Amino acid sequence: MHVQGDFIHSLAMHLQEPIKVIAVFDNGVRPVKFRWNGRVYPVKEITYTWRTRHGHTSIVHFSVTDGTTLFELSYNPSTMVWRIEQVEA
Amino acid sequence: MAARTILHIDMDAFFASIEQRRNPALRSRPVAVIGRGHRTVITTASYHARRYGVRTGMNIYEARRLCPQIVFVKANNRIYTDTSRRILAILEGFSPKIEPFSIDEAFIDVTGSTSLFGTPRTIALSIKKRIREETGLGSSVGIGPNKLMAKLASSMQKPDGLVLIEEGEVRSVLERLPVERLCGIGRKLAGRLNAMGIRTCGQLADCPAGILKSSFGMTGERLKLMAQGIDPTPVASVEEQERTRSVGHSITLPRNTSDTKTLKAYLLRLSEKVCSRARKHGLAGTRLILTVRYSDFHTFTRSRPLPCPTNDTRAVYLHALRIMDSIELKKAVRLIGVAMDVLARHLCQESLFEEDRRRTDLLRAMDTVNESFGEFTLTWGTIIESRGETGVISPSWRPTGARNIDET
Repeated sequence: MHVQGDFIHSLAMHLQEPIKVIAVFDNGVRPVKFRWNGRVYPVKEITYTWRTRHGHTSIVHFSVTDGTTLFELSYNPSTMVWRIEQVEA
Repeated sequence: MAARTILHIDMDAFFASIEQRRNPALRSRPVAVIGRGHRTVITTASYHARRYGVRTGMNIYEARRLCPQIVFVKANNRIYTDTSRRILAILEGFSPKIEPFSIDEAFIDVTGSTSLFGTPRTIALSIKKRIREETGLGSSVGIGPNKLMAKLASSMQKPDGLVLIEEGEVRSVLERLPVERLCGIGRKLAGRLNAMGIRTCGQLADCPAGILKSSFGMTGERLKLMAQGIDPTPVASVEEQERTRSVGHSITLPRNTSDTKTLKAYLLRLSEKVCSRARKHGLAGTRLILTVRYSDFHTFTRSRPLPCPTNDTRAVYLHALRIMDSIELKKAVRLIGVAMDVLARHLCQESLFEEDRRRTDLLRAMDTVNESFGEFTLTWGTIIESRGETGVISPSWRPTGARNIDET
């Protein structure tokens, strides 16, 4: 049987690429802009944040939008590396 | 028992609301969260989708028929479990007596908190406000003289509800309430009561104890108390719940299977999860319980005592295999679970044999690596392929402790 349901998640691109981010560190961390694929994206809204544990490290995840696209960024405080985890059209 | 004040916090359409917060494109649309892998059953529907009749447990084809514009989102368990932990942390600011009931529900005993934080209603409003500020999510709160009534109260006004049932109102609230509205009376039990002519809590409360006892045994006495709104069970923290009991883990497979090799790989993965958690908490199992659910949801368990208390993955896995080999599978398997009854704590007797000591050292080294770098970083070759898979969050998920069942 074929279902024409709108599967938002199936439109997501999983990337896990390191990226450069301009962030504010003030009572936590907050991304402001990031560069990906040669383009700079402003963070217009942080829609959700959550943490995951990877061994001793607590990685911070941000769902952010530039107004048109939803991105998932992650920040590893122990390596200070930002990654773009996912892009949802 | 002295008068108590219990709050039941129930998050509104938890998974769907998180997805709508996370993705602004979903906020004005009917949304249903479905399992990962090839599962097509709805785990939560947004209130918008519920208006069309979409319900938890419904398959996506039925949901699509009822609500053609529905959006299906695959579950993001890591986000849900982290959010649940944040909500529990908010509750801890109001009382030390908190009992997580599932990933999106918790009881909190605020009997001793009113002098600090105000009336129960004020506390409930503060909790709702903090949850909304810190997560963006809505919740419903029920207030009652015990857990049973608090849980009932939270279900009476949703979403964003706040219902208080005072001790003196219990009888009138229950009088005409259908028995199945009480937590603990499921469809089967309600059916049996209905067959006896008992449809409301008032009728159940008036039914002679002897009749209930002869029909339901010990449960009969409890049913009568429940119908009167009596529930003496305390709000028990995760640690208190864990004083005895078991350590277990189950997984809903990405697709139903009868393939022995696949099932064995999952048994090893589950054995490792259960044993590493038992080792972390200094526990050893004395009896192994294997749970199997077929594709038609028929579920059964088989158990056998372990030869000696253990938390060694290999010993538990081999024992689980022996139980599995004794079962003649009649259908494809949907869910498989491994659990150990825990009686021995802080088992620390050193083995006399060199080989056993080396295994203990090996497991300790593995645990240290996995503790530092994440679970299954160092593991058996046969389960490498499945280590990144996620399953459905178990109803028995708890945020901490040995029973913490983290399907992420």
